[in-house]
Amino acid sequence: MLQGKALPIFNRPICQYLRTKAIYIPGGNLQNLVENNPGSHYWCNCTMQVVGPDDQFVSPDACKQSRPCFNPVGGKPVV
Amino acid sequence: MASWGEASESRLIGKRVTRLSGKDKVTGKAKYTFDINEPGMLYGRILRSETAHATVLGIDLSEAEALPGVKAVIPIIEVGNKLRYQGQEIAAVAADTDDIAKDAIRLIHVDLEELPSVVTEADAMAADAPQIREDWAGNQSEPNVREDGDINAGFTEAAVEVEATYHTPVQTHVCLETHGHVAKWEDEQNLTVWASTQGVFGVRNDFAQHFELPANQVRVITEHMGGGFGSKFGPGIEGRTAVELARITGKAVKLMLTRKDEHLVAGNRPSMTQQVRAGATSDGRLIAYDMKGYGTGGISSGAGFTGPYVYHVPNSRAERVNVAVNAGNQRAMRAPGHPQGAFAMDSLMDELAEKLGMDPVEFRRINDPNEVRQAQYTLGAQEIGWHRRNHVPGSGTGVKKRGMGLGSGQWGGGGGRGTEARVTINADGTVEAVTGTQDIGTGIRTVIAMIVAEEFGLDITDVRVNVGDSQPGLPSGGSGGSQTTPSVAPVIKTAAAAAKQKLFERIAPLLEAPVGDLRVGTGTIYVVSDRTKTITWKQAAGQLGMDSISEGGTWDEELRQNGAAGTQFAEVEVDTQTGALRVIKIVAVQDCGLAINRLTTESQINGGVIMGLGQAILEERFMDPETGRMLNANLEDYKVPGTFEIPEIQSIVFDTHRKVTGVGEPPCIPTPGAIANAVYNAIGVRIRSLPITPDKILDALAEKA
Repeated sequence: MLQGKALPIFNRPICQYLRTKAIYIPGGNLQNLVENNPGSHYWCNCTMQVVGPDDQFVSPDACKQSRPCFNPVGGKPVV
Repeated sequence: MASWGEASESRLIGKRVTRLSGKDKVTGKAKYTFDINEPGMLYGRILRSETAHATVLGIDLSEAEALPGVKAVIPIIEVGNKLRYQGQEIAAVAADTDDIAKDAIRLIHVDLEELPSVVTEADAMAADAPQIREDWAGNQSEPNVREDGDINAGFTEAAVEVEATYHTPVQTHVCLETHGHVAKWEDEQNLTVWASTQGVFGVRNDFAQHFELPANQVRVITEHMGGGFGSKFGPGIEGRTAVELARITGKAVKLMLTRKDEHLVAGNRPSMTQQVRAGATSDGRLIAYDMKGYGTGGISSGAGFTGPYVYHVPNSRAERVNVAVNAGNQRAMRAPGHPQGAFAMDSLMDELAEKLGMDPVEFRRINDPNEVRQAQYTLGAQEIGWHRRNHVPGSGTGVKKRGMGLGSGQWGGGGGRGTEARVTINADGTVEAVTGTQDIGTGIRTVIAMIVAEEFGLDITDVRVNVGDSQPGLPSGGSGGSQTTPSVAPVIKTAAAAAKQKLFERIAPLLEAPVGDLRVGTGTIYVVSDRTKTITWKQAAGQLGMDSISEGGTWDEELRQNGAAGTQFAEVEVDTQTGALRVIKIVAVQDCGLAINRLTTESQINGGVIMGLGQAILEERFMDPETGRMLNANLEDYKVPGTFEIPEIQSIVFDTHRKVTGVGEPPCIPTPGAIANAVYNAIGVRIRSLPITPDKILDALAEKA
């Protein structure tokens, strides 16, 4: 993930487990991690599903600090 | 400034070269993940939900665990969580044989509380529909709205208008090699995984994070890969499950999805339904466009599609929503969102052109700002014989009626940073090129060999290419977005050039010439000012003694370019008695900049056209509203093009510059629109819903009559 890419300067914390296609490919738009892109599919690297460990859907809008499974980039791993 | 040189100077670049792996593939020597068999390996299977919506109340694994030959049984979903679509993972088994694993999953007992489900967009959007996605009111996402100009002013200026509804159904990827992995723990901290993936480093990093391992202690190998089309980026739950089963049992575990699994859970192209109203001026300018549409990517988001597309519309409004249904999630699929949008837009363009009494090509010429496609219209029309079309749609005589149509597409494919590579010259003259990209069937292995061989004056078989393995630690990005060649080729080119420079520096004293005077010939190095001073490549490399030269490269932006325009013309024949549709010919004119290997570029275009053909005339996921299940999760009832359906394809590599641009995705975009317009030209009845099947044709003809 994020191979060879500098993380963009996010205006808020993002969960390190949030995934979307753009982060796997060269030149992918990493802004898709920050803002919901209606054409993008999102999933969680904890569950490998479209829901997180709390069985709620994941997306840039939904994956926020209020969720117990939220782990910001550089944060502690999920317990 | 770096460049690929002039075409006249190239010995290999830009030529048609048979792929290096071709012989291995046709003889079965090539090893796909499916072919990997480790000693003592176990077989994994996943128990999947046959229910579209339910809460899991309990899972009893005991009977499966007791079956002889079963080595591990694990739950995947937690009790209390929801199953949201048929095929969702419940539990998994590892056993001595695949048959035992299949028997074992039948012995897992699951207690469910069934919940109301909806599997069609219409049912999900109904006022009384059950709420299946808690965070989307009415099972719909917030609308995505884009506006440009003033559509009311635009419609006031319009001389003609068209209002229509266009629909494309869900299409599945149909990767011939199903998703899957073979996982093996070398010890407690070192993991090796053979993965059918489009990105070995992405999968490596995901596994490392998920299993809390150092990334350099996870090795992912993809020697060959049998199709991904955007659906094979992360490990997926099947990959995680294979690794967990391997860890529990201490043995290698192979877990490949079945064909049914592929249809249910391994991704799909979302559906699209759009109601559009558009207007054009009397002189043929597209002036206003108002669209409202929706699509479903299953329970997940991501059902976006383009619109307006390609053509310039000064006044537009487009509103799209995602609709949630209880069905497997979408994943990126070859040019995500584009083929659906292009089909609707090109159908609309033809409908407007007819109202204006204009030739569809001429109408596009007026409204398409892309200069490359302007030239492609001329070439494509000439090659298909556009003058032969029905000037009055449906005016042909006889039972079998022929017609012609066109469609257009646009893509990026300019590549990006992130590839590391090394090119090594050994003292015996052998050459190696190593990078962490993967050959997903499109031929990057051969492209790499061609670039190095061109630089060194060698044959491609003289170059050993090592890709599809994270172990050398030379990362590269995933193969998606048509980004592989434009991302990798510049790095290989600069690495080879750097290695050649180093070799020249070593042998310049021997040839008594300045480094700048040295050139490579075919298997030789010579002094340009004195051709009598020539040595063979092997002699030159021999000067290295016990050394090797090994150089890395950089991604030089001057060697690649973004933007790939394409247009396609189709000729079809419709049997007006049976509704049978035969596509006779597709002329695909595809811009791709410098085609390093013209042969594999043509193959990419052929493949894209065939995938577009499937979407146009065959492919559709059928869901049963009563049971919530997919009715055609196989290749018997889910039809993909075979030899009877594939027409003559004239793939025209439309070189517009000497820089590399990816071409994996764009050729599938224009095909459905071109075929739909050709059908209309043949029978004079427009079919606005894909796939264009005989029943739809007969219904439309009956309605017209």
